[in-house]
Amino acid sequence: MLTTSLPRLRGLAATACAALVLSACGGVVDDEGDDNDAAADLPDAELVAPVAGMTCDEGATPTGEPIVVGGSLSLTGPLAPTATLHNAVAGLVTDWVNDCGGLDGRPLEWRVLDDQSTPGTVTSNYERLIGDGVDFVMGPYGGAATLAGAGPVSRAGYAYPTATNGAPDKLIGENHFPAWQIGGGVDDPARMFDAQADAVVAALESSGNPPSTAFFATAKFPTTLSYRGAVVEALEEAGTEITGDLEYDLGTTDFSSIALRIQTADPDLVYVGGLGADITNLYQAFDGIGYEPRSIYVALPAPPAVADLGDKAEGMMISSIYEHHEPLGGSPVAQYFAKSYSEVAEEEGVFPLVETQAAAGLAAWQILLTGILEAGADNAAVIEWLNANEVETVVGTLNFDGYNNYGADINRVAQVQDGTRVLVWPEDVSGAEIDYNP
Amino acid sequence: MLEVRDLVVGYGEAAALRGVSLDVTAGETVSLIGANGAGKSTLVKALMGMQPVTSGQVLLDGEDITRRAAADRPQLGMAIVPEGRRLFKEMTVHDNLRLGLHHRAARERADAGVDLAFEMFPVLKARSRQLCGTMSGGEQQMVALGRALVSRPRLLILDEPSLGLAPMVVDQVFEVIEAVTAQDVTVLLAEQNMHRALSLSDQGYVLADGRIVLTGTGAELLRSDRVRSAYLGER
Amino acid sequence: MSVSSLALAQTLLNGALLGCLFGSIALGLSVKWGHLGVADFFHLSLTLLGAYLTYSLVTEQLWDPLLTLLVTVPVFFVVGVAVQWLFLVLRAEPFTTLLITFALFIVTESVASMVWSPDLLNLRPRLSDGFTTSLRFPEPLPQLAVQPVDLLALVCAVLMVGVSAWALRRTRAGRAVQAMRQDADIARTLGVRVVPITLAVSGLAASSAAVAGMVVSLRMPLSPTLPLQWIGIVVVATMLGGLGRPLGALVAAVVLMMIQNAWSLWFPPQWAPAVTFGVLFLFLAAQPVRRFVSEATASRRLA
Repeated sequence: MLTTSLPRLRGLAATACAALVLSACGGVVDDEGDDNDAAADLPDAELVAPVAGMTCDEGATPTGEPIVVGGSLSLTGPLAPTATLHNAVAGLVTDWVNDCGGLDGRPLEWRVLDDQSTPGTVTSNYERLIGDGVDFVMGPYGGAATLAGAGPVSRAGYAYPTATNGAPDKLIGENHFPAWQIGGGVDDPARMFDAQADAVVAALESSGNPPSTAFFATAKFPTTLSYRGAVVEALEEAGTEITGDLEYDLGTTDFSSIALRIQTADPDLVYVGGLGADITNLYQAFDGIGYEPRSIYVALPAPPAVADLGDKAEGMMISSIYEHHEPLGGSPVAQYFAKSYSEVAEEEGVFPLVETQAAAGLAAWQILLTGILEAGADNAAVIEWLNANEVETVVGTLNFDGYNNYGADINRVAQVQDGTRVLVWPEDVSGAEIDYNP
Repeated sequence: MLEVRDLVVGYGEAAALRGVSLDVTAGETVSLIGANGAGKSTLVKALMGMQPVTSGQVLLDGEDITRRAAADRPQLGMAIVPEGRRLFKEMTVHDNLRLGLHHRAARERADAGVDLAFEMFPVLKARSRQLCGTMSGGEQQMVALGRALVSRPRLLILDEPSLGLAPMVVDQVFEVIEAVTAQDVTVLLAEQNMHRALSLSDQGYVLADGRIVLTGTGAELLRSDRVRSAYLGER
Repeated sequence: MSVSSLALAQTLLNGALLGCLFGSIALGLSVKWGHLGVADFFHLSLTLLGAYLTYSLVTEQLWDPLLTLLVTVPVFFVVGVAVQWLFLVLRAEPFTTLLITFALFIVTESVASMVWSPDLLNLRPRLSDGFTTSLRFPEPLPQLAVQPVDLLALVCAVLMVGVSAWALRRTRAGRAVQAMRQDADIARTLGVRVVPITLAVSGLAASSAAVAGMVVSLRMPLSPTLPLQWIGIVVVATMLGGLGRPLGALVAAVVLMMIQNAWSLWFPPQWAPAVTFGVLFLFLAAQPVRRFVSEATASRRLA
């Protein structure tokens, strides 16, 4: 039954060609894009000090020896999309501090080296930065890079703040200060992803209609695989039947077979342990077969990939620690950050709205700056102070008490509602209730 | 028609040709004999523009063609059957023959196109779709001859056409060469098989160690004892 | 028709159409590798640049994607000529050309990052429905769907590969290209002008990258590292198809993608790319056997 008559195929081809020719008269939609509009809607914000306990002395020129913070980031290679964002945050924070008169009157300076997404280069970059005598370091982006940098940084006795370390279970030590507390509130080192999984299940249950079946498609990447493992367990415990669980290679562009397997299973929930553009390619495959998932959860999608889906992303759930709205987004610091980030990001050509990555990037800087303000420009003192105290950040109050210095649980779930990403779990930070009825 | 004046290829002791001069008169068949390594192939390559010349001149009808590009040869009316045949082995017989007509000047001269080759070698006609790499040595030599002859060259240069072929095939090849010489084509034949070569030549040159050591008509050279010694390579 | 055979048909169809895109990319690589002796990894980068240029022209100048070819094709022709000219000037050995094209491959990634940002760029939301709405097969197969972009990939692949294969086999210039690779010296004595032909072939290969790039920009989100995701399938298809044989490369790419997709339907999808290399391995392992058989038949024919 796979054959069809030749005239029919010819007819199809002719129709398709005609469609293409017709569409050639106006094949492009003049659409400036929702993301830009959203960024333009941001209210003007007043300059405030980036961290609690610091006073912003607008107009005062910082003097004296600069406090140099060095970091390695993947400005080229596969990790570049997100690492570029963290570089933009670093530049922004540096200007911000200096606009406020510097750190205790001293100018802040950011020195970045490109590691080309190669962990080996991350190690040598930190050795070089420390050899050059930078005062502090900022962690790189990505789990493998974080571990590669931990060696030289810890040996030299430097504090090691990280924005989004995707390998929370790999012990770094007392000098590790993670902003995204993936492993927050977990005691067992083997179960560092449980907090994340519990957030997913709790969010789904809060709707009153938890899924009875779920299908998992996960990219072969350490962080996504660890996530997936924890979520599978948590969902099964909550009574959800797992009807499919498959992995695909990083960089897969044709998801048609996976889409068909999902369509055949037609689960209540599709969990995509995907990165970057996976979600775009998966939806293209869904389009191709005319399938719409009942509900979908995506672990780590690139923000522009979600934005580009437009209406199709409505209802999509995403792992998150921050979306720009009340209550977290209401603080003057968050307001100022969102406005200036949108400007910097547009220059760099990265997604202009603050979400998990950018917020975690700012939080990592807030940790470091608070430590320096409170304990002085000395790594040993900063490490000691941070271990003993809490830090107010844009993503919430953080402490560093547990395994591998993970403290508070700040794992959250966001959902696309009316074209905007909002936190829907937990209630203390949510901007809306989850809308879930598969 | 073809004049070679003091041609030198290479330098000093290592030179492959050390001042070669020869003349080929239009319509004649001239053979170039000598032992392996005497410089025959180097001379042929120099004539075809495949080998840079150190000094000296090659004149064709009085025109200096010493440094003309190899790709101009068809326009000058020259064609070669190279040593080892050097067919385009991954292409068919037909395509190889058609490449003989690649140059516009060759196509303008060729009245019969590739059919000329099929007339001379009827066996090729049935094999025209066969890849040359899968053919026997004798068949390949026919294609190589055909590829050179379809362009109706004025001067045909043959480099060791009998090398590595079975005796029966050698007979066949020389029959073809005789047939060609009977036409209006000037032939320069570089060949180790001196008896076969000289017996159909008007003129012969004996090459040894990069120099012409002896010259004469084919018949004279066949009778000469010095040919034998030169051929055996007394250097 | 049961769900699973329908699913198989759909996934094979999708694989075949995506294979057409990879076959279009493999075209230039196969021709340059097979006939110019240049394993040109930069060809993949050119495809990416073609995609980015299309993206910029469509989003900033609001050109129709197909119209962008009027600019990209001639520009890329010049680029292809320039790169080959560089090799000729340097008198580059095959290994040197490999190093140079690989260096260009790496540099292009950084340049694309700088010019277009390392972030994902997706043309799809900007396209009219004519490009993005799936078309259904007519009866008796209304369940099968195909995307207009994939049909465009099919048309481009068939046109470019068809014309290349035809030109290589059936035209004087095409035969000259083949001859030049097999024995350049003899080809010259027959009047083949090697330098201009080499430059033209390189230019045309680069032009094909402009067309393939246009399809890429419509088909998938762009990021500077995209060529790394193609390199496996494109190189394997080029080798399986036989160097210098565009049609072979296209067929190989189509078959490989169909195998990959069929595999992903029943087996763990993460091994699908490995299947591609498995096929290459089997093919290479079968070569001695094939040679033995063909020599045996050849000697029988001669005897």
